[in-house]
Amino acid sequence: MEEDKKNQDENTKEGAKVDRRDFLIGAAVVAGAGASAAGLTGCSGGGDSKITRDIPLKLTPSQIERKRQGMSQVAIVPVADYSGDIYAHIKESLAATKFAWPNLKGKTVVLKPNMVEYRADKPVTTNPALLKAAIAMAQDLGAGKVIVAEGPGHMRDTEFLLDVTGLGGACREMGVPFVDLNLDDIEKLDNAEGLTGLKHFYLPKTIVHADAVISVPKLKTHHWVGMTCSMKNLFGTVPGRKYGWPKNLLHIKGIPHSIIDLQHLVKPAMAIVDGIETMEGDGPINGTAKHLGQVILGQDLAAVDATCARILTLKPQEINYIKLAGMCVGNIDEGMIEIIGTPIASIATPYKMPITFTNKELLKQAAQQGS
Amino acid sequence: MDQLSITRDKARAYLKKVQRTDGFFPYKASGDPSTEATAWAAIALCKDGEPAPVDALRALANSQGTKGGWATRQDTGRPDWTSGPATLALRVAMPRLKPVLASEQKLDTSSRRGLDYLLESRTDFYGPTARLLLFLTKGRSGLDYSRGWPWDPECFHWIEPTAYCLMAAKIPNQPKKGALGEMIELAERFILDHHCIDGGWNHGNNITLGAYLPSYRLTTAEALLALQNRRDEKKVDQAVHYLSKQSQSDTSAHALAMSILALAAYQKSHATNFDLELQQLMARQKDDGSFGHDSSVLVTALALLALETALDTDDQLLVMK
Repeated sequence: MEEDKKNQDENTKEGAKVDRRDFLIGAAVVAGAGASAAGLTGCSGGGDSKITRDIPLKLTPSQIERKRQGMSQVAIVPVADYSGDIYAHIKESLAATKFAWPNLKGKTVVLKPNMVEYRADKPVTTNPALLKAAIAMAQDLGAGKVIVAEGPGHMRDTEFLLDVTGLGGACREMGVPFVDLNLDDIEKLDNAEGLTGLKHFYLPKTIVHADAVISVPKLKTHHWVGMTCSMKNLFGTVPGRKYGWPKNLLHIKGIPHSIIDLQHLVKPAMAIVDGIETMEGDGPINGTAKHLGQVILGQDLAAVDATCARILTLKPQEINYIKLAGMCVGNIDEGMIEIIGTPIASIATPYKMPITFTNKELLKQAAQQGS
Repeated sequence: MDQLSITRDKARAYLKKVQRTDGFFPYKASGDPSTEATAWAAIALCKDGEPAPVDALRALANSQGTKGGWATRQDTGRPDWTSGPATLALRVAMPRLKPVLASEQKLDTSSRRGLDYLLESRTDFYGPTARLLLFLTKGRSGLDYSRGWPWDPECFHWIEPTAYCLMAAKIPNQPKKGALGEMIELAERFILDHHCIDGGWNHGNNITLGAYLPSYRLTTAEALLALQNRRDEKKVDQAVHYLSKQSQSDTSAHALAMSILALAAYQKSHATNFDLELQQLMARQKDDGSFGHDSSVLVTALALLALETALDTDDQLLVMK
């Protein structure tokens, strides 16, 4: 209908891209300019991709105003494995501390695990035992309704993923529904203050109408951004029905930028990180398992992710999206984060990083391939 | 009545029950309209005649954008990958409903405009500068790189949207040569270029940063449906073999339905594993007649189509003529 033109312009601040006819005309006009096409051999890449775009050095005052004020707390609780009552253990471990649990009384709480894809021999997804602990926590804190929700990033076959990852079984065992965010009804949210350049996002109603969204990620290295944890996990709140499998537009518009926009749109209330069996190397899918034996919790997701980076002996300032989050989401400076429980220094251990973490040329090549 | 017919009738009844009064189908009962669910439900029900599939096709035609494409739901931004399934529905279902729709020129026009949209929308792949560089360094052949379709117009091309759009362009009939034929050839090559080492396809690349990536059952089935005229290709044969090997795994209604549809398109319906997959699929039907997580309308439509392959072996809706 008449909507097309308006929608095209609304979707990006940059406006519409050229179509086939435009290109043929354009090519004829500029042919002869002389240039090299070296590096343009990727078979699925986009030559104008912004996947590796830099983060902005300056933000607007209104963007900076969104940053959380005051100190943040992050709890680090040793959990040796996935056996037993993990939530009871965490609760007992933190009982004598000043750790502030979020107020979930009477609220509709959405727990968002990581169920991006499945590999039988790799810790790709949030462990079902950790998800059950998160459900138990929400129920114990008085949540009126608990929903588990995820929009898997790579596979359309959600029924399969729920089965093989054990996350569907965890939901059934705990008596809570699972919502496939990829196919949920969607609502349009304004993103005028966002960093991606997208004027708005379409997000699932389950997320939009939740009183509290809790990120329940798996701690892994990540070949695009160094590390994936509670903030990156929110990519799974973006609906595939609009953005696809994967949610490629979030990459095209800049992963750090998209991560930050989603923090401000989803407004997560807490993170509970599965740091028991983690992933190092070529994460987030092809890496190898590494036992850390910790669960990391907090209400400031920037602080949680910065703390997890430090556990991996990474500098938060060197991970673009965490650096950006420190400017407009929450605290990433050590001095502003109160660690409760296990001291970072006692568990910090170097992780094998994806080769793209140090080799930026490879990162650009991979970006060309759209992987 | 045999079990297959009972299962099929229950699925059909479920779909009709959840159709919205505006003609659209939602992804799940009582949900908002979904272009994709409406498209597959229209195909699955088209042999029934009116009103369900007719209302669905009219709803699709009425929600088509000015450029001929569709968004996942009307008023949700620019056209996207759902233009593939919507065009496919119009092309496949309309001929079955000719007696009812004979006087409705709008649907014919809508189908043609859908194909035009697919033709015009596919080159946002390399930007103009990159394409110019390719042209300057490699000549005209530099622009003949394999390419398919993206999920969103600004993004990379991926296997699934390419498969959906290829199906729309080729089923029921492959177009004559020309721009559309050229587009189809490049898109087929795009899928073939991304063939995984274990035989099938996943959502995207077959190799990333030196690591070979595994196939998915569902995506392999979708790609095979899109490549059914290329069965002489070695990679296609390997993919059929990969898919057949999965038959012992009762993984999900969605994958089973697509697998059955793909195997039927490759005339594997006589195989024992095909019957096994049918049994597995039927066993996954819920009491309300639906299939899939949360009584998925999309998966129920695909399951109904899959069940039809066992009943009407000479009249397969997703097999190229």
